Amino acid sequence: MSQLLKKNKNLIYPGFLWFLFFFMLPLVIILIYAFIDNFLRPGTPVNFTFENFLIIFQRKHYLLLLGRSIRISLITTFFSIAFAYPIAYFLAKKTKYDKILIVALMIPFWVNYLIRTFAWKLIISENGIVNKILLGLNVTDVPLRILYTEFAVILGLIYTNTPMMILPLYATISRIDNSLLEAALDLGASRTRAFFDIIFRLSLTGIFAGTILVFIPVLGSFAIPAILGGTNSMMIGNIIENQFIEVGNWNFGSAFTLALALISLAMIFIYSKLFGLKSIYKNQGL
Amino acid sequence: MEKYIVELKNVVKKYGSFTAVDNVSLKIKEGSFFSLLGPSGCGKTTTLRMIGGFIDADQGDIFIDALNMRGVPPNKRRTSLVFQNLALFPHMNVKENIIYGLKKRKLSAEIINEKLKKIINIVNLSGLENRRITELSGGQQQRVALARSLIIEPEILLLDEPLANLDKKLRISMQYELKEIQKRTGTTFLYVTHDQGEALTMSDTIAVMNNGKVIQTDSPYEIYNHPSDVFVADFIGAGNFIKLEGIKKFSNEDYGNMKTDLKNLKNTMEDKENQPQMPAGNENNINQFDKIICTTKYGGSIKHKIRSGVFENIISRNNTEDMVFFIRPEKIGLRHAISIKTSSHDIKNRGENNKSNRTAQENINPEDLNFYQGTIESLIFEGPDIRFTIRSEQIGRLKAEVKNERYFLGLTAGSSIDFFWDIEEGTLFY
Amino acid sequence: MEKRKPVLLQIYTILFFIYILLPIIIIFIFAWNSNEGYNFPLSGFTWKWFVQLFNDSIAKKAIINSVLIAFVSATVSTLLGTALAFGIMNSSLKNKGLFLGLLILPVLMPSLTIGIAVLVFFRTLTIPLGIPSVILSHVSISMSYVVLIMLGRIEGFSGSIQEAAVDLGASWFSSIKDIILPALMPAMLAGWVFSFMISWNEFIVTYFLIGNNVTIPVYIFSQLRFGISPKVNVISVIVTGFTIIMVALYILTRASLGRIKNTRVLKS
Repeated sequence: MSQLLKKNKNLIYPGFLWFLFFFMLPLVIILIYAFIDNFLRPGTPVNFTFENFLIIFQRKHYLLLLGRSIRISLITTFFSIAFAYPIAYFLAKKTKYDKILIVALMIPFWVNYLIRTFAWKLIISENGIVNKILLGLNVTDVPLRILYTEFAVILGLIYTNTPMMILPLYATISRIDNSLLEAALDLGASRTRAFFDIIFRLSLTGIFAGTILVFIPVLGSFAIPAILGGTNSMMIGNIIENQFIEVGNWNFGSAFTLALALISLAMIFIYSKLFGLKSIYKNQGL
Repeated sequence: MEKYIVELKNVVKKYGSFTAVDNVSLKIKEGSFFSLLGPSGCGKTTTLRMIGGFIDADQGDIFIDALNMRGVPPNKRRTSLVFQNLALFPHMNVKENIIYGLKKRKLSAEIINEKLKKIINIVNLSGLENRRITELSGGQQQRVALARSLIIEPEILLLDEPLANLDKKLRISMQYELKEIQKRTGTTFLYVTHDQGEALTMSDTIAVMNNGKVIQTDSPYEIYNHPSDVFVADFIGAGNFIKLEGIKKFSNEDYGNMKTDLKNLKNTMEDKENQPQMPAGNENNINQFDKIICTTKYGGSIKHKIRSGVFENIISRNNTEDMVFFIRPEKIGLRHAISIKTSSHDIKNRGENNKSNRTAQENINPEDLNFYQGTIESLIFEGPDIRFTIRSEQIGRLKAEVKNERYFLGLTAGSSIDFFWDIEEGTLFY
Repeated sequence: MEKRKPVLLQIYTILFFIYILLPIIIIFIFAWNSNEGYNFPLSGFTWKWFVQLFNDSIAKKAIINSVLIAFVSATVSTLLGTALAFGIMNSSLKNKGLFLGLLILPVLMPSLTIGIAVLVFFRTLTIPLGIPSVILSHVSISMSYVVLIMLGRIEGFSGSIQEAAVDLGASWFSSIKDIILPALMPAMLAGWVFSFMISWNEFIVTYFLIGNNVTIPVYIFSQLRFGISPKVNVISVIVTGFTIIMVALYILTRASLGRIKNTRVLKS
């Protein structure tokens, strides 16, 4: 490459410096905060400590909350796979209108999730549509309490995140050549067997990519539990918000934030070892 | 007695208003290498996929081993398909790919292993059992696909242009290998291809298809030498199509003219030892064949032999519009033009060189030879062969192809040339 | 093996689409319903919630702020991200994979972590919160998306056109200005629209960094937390309408890029 074109490399710097300064450096500061016992301020002495992490494991309240967050995230991920898979399969293999339908899916996906969450609040509230129907059919005498429960939170999370799962699944399934399925049938496999041996097995990449794209944001969500959930369905995000906005314990809040960051980094790392990072963004349909 | 393993009876497949397969009937001999040959979109792949059970026929019946296959899914047919893109399972290694079919048949591990060993030997894949598919070369992937299908011992192996994606050299070596594997296993191969060379090399029988119809079913030799119509002639190899104005039977008058021609020929060739003679058995042929003279639109005449009765048939149709004479380039012999002015020494030399190639024709009665004079328009040197475009006043423009021999050195565009062919060569389409 | 009609799958797909679209339709309906109670049967058509929204000074401020933030951060992140992606593609970076892995972290990490980290960062440096700090961190998130879009869309983009320009006597700067920028323009437009939508919808990071100010998502959130009024429906209708326009734009950039790719194939 000519000397002149080596200048292209310099184009990296503005963006990269921005990234270092406004993304990496803040993370480093959080890292520091998690291991000290006071604010980073001129004139304030600080000590190194593990106390902030120990509190998470010492207080039952926080352990419960951590467990609940992971449980809610797992359930949400599982159901979004279950709901999304047939759709992705249909779009990829059973229709020629897939491009249009994907657009139809993309539009609600791009509608702000707070608005979509708001809609669910209307639907499941005590005098919402669901309760109106149930009362009307005499299934129940008193309106069901759905809003402000863990169930409501999961409902909202599944609803807002399922489209995230469809895109990577659709991308991987549509890349599977139909002749592979035909070959399996030709060699004597039943339809069901051939589906699991070939389509499902080869779409695992998409399932994992979708899992990354759903599990991580769900684990870090705080708006949906704040709107649809009650005090018994708070998640990590709500605790973190609480620590920074109301309590003002930055050290403990940073420890929780760091834990969240580490869980997601670990997942991203495992995924990239298994399939390569490229397949995550390749499958997002950008 | 010969057994037909596959039989198609009046099979039709339509896609909307487009008829992909139009009333096709075929019989495929057990243990033979049968090719469906035709341009893309001719219906050959559709036919193959109907036999494999991937597509249902709209009308007609497909029999495999005398059983009607209507409604039988691919996994219940004793066929196996080698896909054009091979369709190897990317998440399985070589061994897992090959034994996939046996596993679905729930055979014991020992039997599977035994069969695996056998097939690996047949297709030359030893040592590669645990390789990933992506680590194999194109030829090796080909073999895996073949092994995967052969191991389930299908009665017919269906092959959908499996060599199309290989480079030329590998394709040719795989052709021989495929033929060899077919002989070794004795399995019936039904091979779909658009490559006429491939079909000619490997097949016992070729069915040429066009526009959803089977045009001709014959041995490679017959297909090449006696194409049944213009399409087949044109599709299989190169050829010269000479438009005709009329035909007539060979008469005494013609014979008289010919004598003068012959005399000239003899003189110019200065070849008195080799008097043209009627080859033995010619008389018998006359009983079955008619000699005719075709007139080209340039006024030239082409002698030709046709089966007796055909001439009357053509005349009775009273339609000479579509008459075409077809001759392959390699059937045309070439000789340096011999003019009276050329020195005898020169001619003699040429005559000697001439003996070394098939253009000598000393033992053939010149009466059985079409002989013309022309000029070379262009020539292309192609390694083993030299291709000429010749122009003659009587015939028009012709392609001729001769072996790369020293005799043709020195010929350039513009050179005068003599060319000729045996009256038994070529085909008359009417 | 004729393709059987996947009837069950079709029914499921239809139900799924109803499930995905119905809540949004309900939001729309109540934006024009005259009663405040969110109850069926509907009580009549009205524009009064629209009027109320436009008399709400906070809502107006939210709309202006949202547009401003999205516009500025989309523009900055498109420029930075394009330069970054082009630099990565055209240099023999060692550890390109690791570099890219780091760059896509803002896309994959929970935005909560990013919001908190930047909050702590600004507070530690005693930089006041507000619109500038929101823009700063929106840029670092959407810049990653722009890099991904650029890498995905201009894969196989040949550096030889730039070499040709330099060979014909162009300076480095003019080779970028005359050749590269026009060639990358469709992908950059896509990146801009995408960044705009990211920023337009972003809630969590904004919530932590906006200080006393407000954007549309922050406004909706506060409304949802403390009693709801059909004004939220109206602002949702506006946001959604705008989103649909942007999605349409994004799809159009994709189509036009497809044409450019095709012409290049034809020429080669």
